[in-house]
Amino acid sequence: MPIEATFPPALIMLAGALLLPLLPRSFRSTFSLLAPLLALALVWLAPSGTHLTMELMDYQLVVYKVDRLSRIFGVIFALITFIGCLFAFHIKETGQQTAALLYATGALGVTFAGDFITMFVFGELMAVASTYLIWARGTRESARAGMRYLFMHLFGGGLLLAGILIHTQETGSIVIEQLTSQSSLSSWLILAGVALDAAVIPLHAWLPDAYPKATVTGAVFLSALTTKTAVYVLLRIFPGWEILIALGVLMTLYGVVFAVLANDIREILAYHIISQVGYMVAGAGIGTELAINGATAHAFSHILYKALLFMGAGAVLQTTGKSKLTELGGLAQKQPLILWFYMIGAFSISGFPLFNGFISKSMVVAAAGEAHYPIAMLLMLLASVGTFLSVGLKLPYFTWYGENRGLTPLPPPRNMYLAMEAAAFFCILHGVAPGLLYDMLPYTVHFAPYTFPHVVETSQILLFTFAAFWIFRKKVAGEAGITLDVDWFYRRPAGWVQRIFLEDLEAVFNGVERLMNYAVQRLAVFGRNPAALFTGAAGEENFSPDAHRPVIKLFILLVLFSYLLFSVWGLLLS
Amino acid sequence: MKRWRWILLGIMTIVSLLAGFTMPPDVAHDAWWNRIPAFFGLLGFIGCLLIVFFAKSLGKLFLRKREDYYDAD
Repeated sequence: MPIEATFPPALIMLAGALLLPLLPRSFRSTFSLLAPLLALALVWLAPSGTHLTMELMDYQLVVYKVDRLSRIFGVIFALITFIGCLFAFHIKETGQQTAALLYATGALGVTFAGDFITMFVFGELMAVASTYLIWARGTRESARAGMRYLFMHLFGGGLLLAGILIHTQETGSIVIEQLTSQSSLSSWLILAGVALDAAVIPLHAWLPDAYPKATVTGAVFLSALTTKTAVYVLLRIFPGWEILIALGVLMTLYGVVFAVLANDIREILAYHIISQVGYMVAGAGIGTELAINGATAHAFSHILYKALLFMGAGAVLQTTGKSKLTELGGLAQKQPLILWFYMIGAFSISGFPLFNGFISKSMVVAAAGEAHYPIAMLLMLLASVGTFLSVGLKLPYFTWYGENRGLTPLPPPRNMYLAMEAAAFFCILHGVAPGLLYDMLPYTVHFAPYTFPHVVETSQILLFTFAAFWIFRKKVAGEAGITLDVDWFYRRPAGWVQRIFLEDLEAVFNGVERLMNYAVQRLAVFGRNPAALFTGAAGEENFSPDAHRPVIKLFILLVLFSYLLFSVWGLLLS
Repeated sequence: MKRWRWILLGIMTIVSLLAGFTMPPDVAHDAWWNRIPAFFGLLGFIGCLLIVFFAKSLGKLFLRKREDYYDAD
């Protein structure tokens, strides 16, 4: 079959994932680059419209449907899969590369799905494939965190499926469309299922729990795909749901507050995924053209700079074996390139002018102002202070500067630098030439990021945040330990559940068993010699006619005599 | 940090503050806080302290636990 411009990119990715393990070992890494590159070309060339439908029982599945919103998400998913596979080029373990391609298959499948069933199936594929990227780390911690991650996502999938089934029963249609009915249970179930994937509070705890425990290369894919696929679905199905504004703004602040407490560098970045996705969720909630454009642009920018940040932090972990601020420090002279690539990501996420965060985050903030949500606007500006504080100052300061702990990092594989270069290139490209990104957005853009007031405001915020950090930098230093989050509610009771249903139950069974053994033993003694019951000669003594018969005879006589007495008494009374 | 970087930062701070005072009202950001002089500088400085101290006090209160908290039992 010749591959045409309307061939579904998800299938290319899937074919890549399935073929990869069959190829000669030396060719696999190269092949893992070709699949996303071909998928990227297909997404780029795909004309708008419905290109592939299938019949499933009475329903028509729309497997490949393209419009401007889905195309830009497809472009960034394919692009970041390419960059991620480049970062993982040195990996010899085929399972990870296959899982990454399957994961990207899911993301592209959801993005271009035109119906709920296709969306659900690809969504579950993402959950399963991504779990492997956590497990592949091979530590006990990652095994347990991966299991929690998988359970949470299966739970989210369950909510989504329940919502889809009710929705289908109500409307008779499985076509993906905007849900406007805020009084229908199905809408809320679907929203909850998607919100879990978007790490909306309080369904977010899986993210900072699992991402820091994933493999160095796996975390790059994780940071890019799951939450942003969910953002895409929110933009597609729930634009204008006001509750998302409140939740999104809450996420922006929640992420930065928890990042201040975090000690693991990838946990800091993970909390800042929640924070940044908050802007996109709020954008979906505002729902105006500017807000949808802003959320889409910010998702695009975010995927690039967050992948870059995770690559930088991952390179530190790869070369030093350490990921905690309390164990890192003094690396600036030893790995200047990693530091600079990381800082490009940090400048981008903090919204420095000339970097891509500046031109996308500001769209969402401006959309909040334009739609008359001044409080939301102010709180999002406040959150950007926290972003710069943790990702732009605290993390690099205590990792590369700070106390020199005499670490001697190994040189990282060359392909890691190439991948970071690629991501850094796009971060700067879109910051310098925002039109390249704006032209891809779903609606025509009437927004100019480089206005005089906007640049001045941003400069003031960043400069004074730096000043506050510098004065109080000792207070911000990482501390050993962990931070509780809402995962407490399922991790802590897990211990109790184990105690009640396994350990306590076992203790009861053991007790009953001991009791039965004891009773059987006593019965055996009694069977051998009933007289022992009265004489107290319990134990070893066997029945002896001479010794015991008179006693038992007397007992039986007493019993019979008492019967007699009862009978006479009964006769007299009647 | 090297001295020239501090000087550069100082100049940028002064320029951004001066520019803030002479700034025409921002159409996209028309809100009450635009009438407060150097508002965004204050937001950066006070916001930063607020976030740090809020987070740290939450951590002290009940959020921070030792490394093996979940493995303890």
